[in-house]
Amino acid sequence: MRGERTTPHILMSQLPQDPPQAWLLAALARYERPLVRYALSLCGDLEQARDAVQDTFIKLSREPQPPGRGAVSPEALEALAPWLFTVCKNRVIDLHRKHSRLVPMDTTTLEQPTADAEAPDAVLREKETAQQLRALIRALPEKQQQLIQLKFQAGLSYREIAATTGLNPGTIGWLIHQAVQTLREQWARLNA
Amino acid sequence: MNQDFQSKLTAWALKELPPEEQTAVEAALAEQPEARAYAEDTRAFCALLQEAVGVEAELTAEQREALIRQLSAAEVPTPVVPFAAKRQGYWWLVGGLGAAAAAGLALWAGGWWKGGEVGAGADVAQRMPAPRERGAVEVETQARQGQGMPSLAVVEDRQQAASAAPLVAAAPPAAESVAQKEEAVSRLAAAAPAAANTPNNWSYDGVAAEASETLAARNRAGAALADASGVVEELRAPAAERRAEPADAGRPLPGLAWGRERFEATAAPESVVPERAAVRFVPPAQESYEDVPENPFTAVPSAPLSTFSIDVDTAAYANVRRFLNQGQRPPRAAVRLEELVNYFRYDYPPPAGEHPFSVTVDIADCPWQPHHRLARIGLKGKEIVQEERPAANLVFLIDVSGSMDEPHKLPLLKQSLLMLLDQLKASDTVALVTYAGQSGVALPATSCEQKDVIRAAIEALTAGGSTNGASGIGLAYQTARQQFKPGGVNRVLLATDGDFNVGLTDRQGLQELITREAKSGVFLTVLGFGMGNLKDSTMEMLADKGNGHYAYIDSLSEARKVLHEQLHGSLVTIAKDVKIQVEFNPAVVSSYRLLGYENRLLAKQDFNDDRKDAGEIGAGHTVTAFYELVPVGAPTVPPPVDPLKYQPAAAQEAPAPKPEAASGETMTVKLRYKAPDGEKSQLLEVPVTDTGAQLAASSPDFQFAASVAMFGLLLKDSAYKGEADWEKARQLALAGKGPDPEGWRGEFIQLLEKARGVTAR
Repeated sequence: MRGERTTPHILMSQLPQDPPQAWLLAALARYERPLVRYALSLCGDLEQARDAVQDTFIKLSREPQPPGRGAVSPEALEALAPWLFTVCKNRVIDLHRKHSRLVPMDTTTLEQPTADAEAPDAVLREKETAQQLRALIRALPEKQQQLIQLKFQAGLSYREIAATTGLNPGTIGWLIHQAVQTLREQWARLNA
Repeated sequence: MNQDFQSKLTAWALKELPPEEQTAVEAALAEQPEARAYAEDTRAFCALLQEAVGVEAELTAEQREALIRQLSAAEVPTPVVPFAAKRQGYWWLVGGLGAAAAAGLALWAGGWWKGGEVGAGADVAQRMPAPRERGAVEVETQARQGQGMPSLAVVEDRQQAASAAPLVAAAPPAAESVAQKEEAVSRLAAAAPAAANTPNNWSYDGVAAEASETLAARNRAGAALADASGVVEELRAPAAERRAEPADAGRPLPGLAWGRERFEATAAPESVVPERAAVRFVPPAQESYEDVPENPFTAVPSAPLSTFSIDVDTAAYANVRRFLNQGQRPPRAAVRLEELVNYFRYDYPPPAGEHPFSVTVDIADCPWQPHHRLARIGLKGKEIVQEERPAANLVFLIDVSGSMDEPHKLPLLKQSLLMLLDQLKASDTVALVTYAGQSGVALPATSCEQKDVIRAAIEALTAGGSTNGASGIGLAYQTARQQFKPGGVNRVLLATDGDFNVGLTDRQGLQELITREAKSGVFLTVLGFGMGNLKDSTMEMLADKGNGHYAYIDSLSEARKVLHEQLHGSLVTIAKDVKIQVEFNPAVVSSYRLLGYENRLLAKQDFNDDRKDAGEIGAGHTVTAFYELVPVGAPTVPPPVDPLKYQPAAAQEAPAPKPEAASGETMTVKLRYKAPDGEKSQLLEVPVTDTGAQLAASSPDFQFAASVAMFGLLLKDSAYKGEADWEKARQLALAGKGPDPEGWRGEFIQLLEKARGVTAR
């Protein structure tokens, strides 16, 4: 399972140890991947997702009073999650608007159905599985869809999802349960 | 396995359970192969899901290096920068169209002033690969968190925009400025309908009233907004141009829709629950109803006695109404005739004399079978005025599991409880017990002299966690017993969507627990909320076994009916174990059919058996039961049974009718009941003679009640509906409507029309 919480590419020795910047870099190490995955789940465009995340961190560095400011503790970092995910989402929305206005053909091209030819290759079969599951996810109620994206695509924990969405963990657990079981049943039916 | 336990298993499969719960679940798994299979399947599927849709994505190495450089060099921003000062205290509204609306305005304002400010950070920024839309990096989206007040943010943005406006003059080259203005207009246009969606008052220019989904209106609103900040002249032209262009975002982002839903879920229900809550359509896939076959016609010679327990539940009516208002036909099993009829109060005479309730019986033509007669048995409990009501010891047992976190559940529940609280006297006490993952006492028994404390505790309830109903019920009864008021009202009020009894407790175990607790003198009221996973049969069973009743609350007005207007009936039981036995006279009636009460039937010997539990009647409650009678000589609906093969037909017949049979009496209605704290039953007998009344000559109440019964038969598509039709039901209801001060009967007539439409499809 994809569970690593730091980005190996950042060498800890590179990080300045004095407070004002240390927390920023810790936040980057902690949230880079979840944020990119999250942004990607929102817009479906890796370039856009990366830009949104980059902008998000720049904004964080300019935020006069970010939550959990100045501390590198896990709690302080966790307190940043709502801020980061919200800013990131807004940034994705902004980029998406701008982008879809500048290049209107882009999204329609993306939405074209792909060829559905049978593929004997195992790699392709795997892709098919993913496609089927994605289609099933798209058929879920909006809220469940979002939670499934946050949980499985962005790989967030219930607590992080709670921080991001403002829903309480009980509700999240309940909705994810319903979504997972719906998907599981439908998946089983498809592959019976 | 019930849903909440399953939900726990899913959390277990995702490794999301807190350690102590994980241990408990794993212990349960070791014992339950079925649960184990479920959990393992779920875990395997989650892994597949993760594998299939999970993405591995990160920044490019180049981007990351640039970011690290920039973040390492970042200076602590100081609030000296003019505009930064305004940003203090701003917060981020999580999701929400409000935020999106604010973003539109803020971008526009931010775009200008940042233009002048960019020098400070520019050299740092240039060292990194440029995000494709540099200018917007600085955009601020401001909104007040938590208060769900996008309009506030909009107003503030407007101020900011106004103060930013002077910069327009000094703004960069003309071409860029045009592009920016154009963008600003489009964003304003996009923002306007969003803002109009918010429930808050929009403070200026009547924009909210005007704004609609049409592009034209959006542009008009955009212009109006621009007007407010004094740059309208420059913006109007681009606004006109934009009208011809396609709408802003071709494909809505999932995040936007999400935001909107979030907004509705948080802001709307917290502020006010609509009078008749506007409910979303939820397929009743997970609701469960127990289908009980309808009572058949019974021949009087072979079975002259009909015995049943009274039932004052009204939940089925509210539930049926909910279905019809959603444009759906209710499942047949959800239509319980007796609960439909009992939803309405009828004007029976108040009791006089020794008994705590009165009995009224009248007979008229059966409106759906011209040859049959319809007999109505009406009970009315004595009224108790507020001052006479004994002190109450109430324990609210409140389901705060995750499934309750919907507008028509917990928020409605809270308002309902607050309404009930208003009715309580200083001598009453209230305790709150919540149950979810773990049960707890949210408020120990508190005197109603401190209503503020109780009110605060009710308002502080939030949903979260899964449900374990059994331990919650145990705790609630325990709390009630500790405060037991001898001679007073001792009652647990269970408020839930019914999806509980979880964990490791089955229906049987729960039933036994309730039955045992009911003997302690603490009665149970079940209040059903919400939909989608309403476990109707479980809740009805609980109320039956717990010496109480079950009401379904789908709206604030229903809450008012159950917890306000009929509060005393809901709280004060005036008689318990009320049973009815009717003996029919074979000389007059050939067969009979009891309408409804299918799950309240008793064996004839149970009538005199004081150990047999039966229904309770509360102060002021009315109970109505209908019998459809086939008079001797009338054609019978079900064909008569074949002659017996092994014994002479004469053996079935009563050997020699007693002289009373010739009295002309139709039947004798016998009732047994106990005082609320009594153990020995008392008997009441009412002989009834059919005077041959026409339907039109019967009382308006009779006609109205007959209409409700007909409505039920039609909705159930009953085998016994005969010549019933919607028009007849409507005419009867109109004839019987009467003064209808509460408007319930008027609502029923509207419901008839809806039912007619739904069933015609």
